[in-house]
Amino acid sequence: MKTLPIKKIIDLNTYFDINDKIMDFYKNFYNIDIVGFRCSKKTLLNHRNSVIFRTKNDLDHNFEKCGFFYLVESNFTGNININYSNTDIITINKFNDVKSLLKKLSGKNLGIEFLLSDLNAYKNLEIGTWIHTVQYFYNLCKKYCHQFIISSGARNIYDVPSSKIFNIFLEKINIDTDRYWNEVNEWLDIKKRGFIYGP
Amino acid sequence: MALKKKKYRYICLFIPSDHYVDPTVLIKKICYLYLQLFGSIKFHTTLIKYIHLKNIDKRFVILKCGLSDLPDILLSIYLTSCITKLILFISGTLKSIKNKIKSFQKLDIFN
Repeated sequence: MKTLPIKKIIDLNTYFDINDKIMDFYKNFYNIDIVGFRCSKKTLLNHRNSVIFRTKNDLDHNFEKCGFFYLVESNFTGNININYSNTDIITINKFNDVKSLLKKLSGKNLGIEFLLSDLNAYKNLEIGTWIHTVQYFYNLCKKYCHQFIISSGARNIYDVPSSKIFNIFLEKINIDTDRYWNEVNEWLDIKKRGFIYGP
Repeated sequence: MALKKKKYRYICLFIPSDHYVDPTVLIKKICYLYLQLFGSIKFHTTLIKYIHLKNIDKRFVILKCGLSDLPDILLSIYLTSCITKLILFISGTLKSIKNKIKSFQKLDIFN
């Protein structure tokens, strides 16, 4: 079987300030090519093409978005009645009613994101349950035409997993790693329509 | 028939000075999580152990484990969230680990 070439390794969700030095570290030691972040500091000068700015639907961040490719994010906390129009990516924080959500938004090609940092809240013996549940949602994402995404959700640099750790998680969830990274890259290419060029 | 030689890998972790943990405590925590995730039978094939190297900064901890068990060991290390650490690199030789530590120290992010 012909294998697809691996494109870029992406961690779409981090919660801390990223600067050029940290980005160098990611690229050289962790093999992570693109990082999603939401801080407002403009400390990234050399790696503008390696970052994706995340913004909430209800906030106007036009100034900060300038020069960055951005995604509009929402969190899913169990309420399927929230309006997800204009949203690119939904982070799943609670597993209740996720199936109904995916069914409701069927065919919209949204990014459905699961965070590795959520595992911190699990007891050791429940980690298998998380993997099994996420595997089930992966199949649902396929069924309802959404893009399944795994991100770190890192609060500091020490929480960030390397590309190797990402691949190990994907293998545990029974996902072909090459195929996954290609799909995420293609999905991001489609979402690039929202790019705002800076002055 | 000759026994097949088991292959090993060295894992280099970086623990910041202000979160220093004794390597034996670290190993215990990783092993405990590994046992809970993958069970006792698998654990006894991992042969995980701490490698003490002279002339290496205390912040760098080097672990040795079987190549075949590397993914599960890495998963256990990553999920040991009570310890602040970076899984820096994996290598087949200690010489390569030492060289990579030098290049990491040049980065100057964690000093």
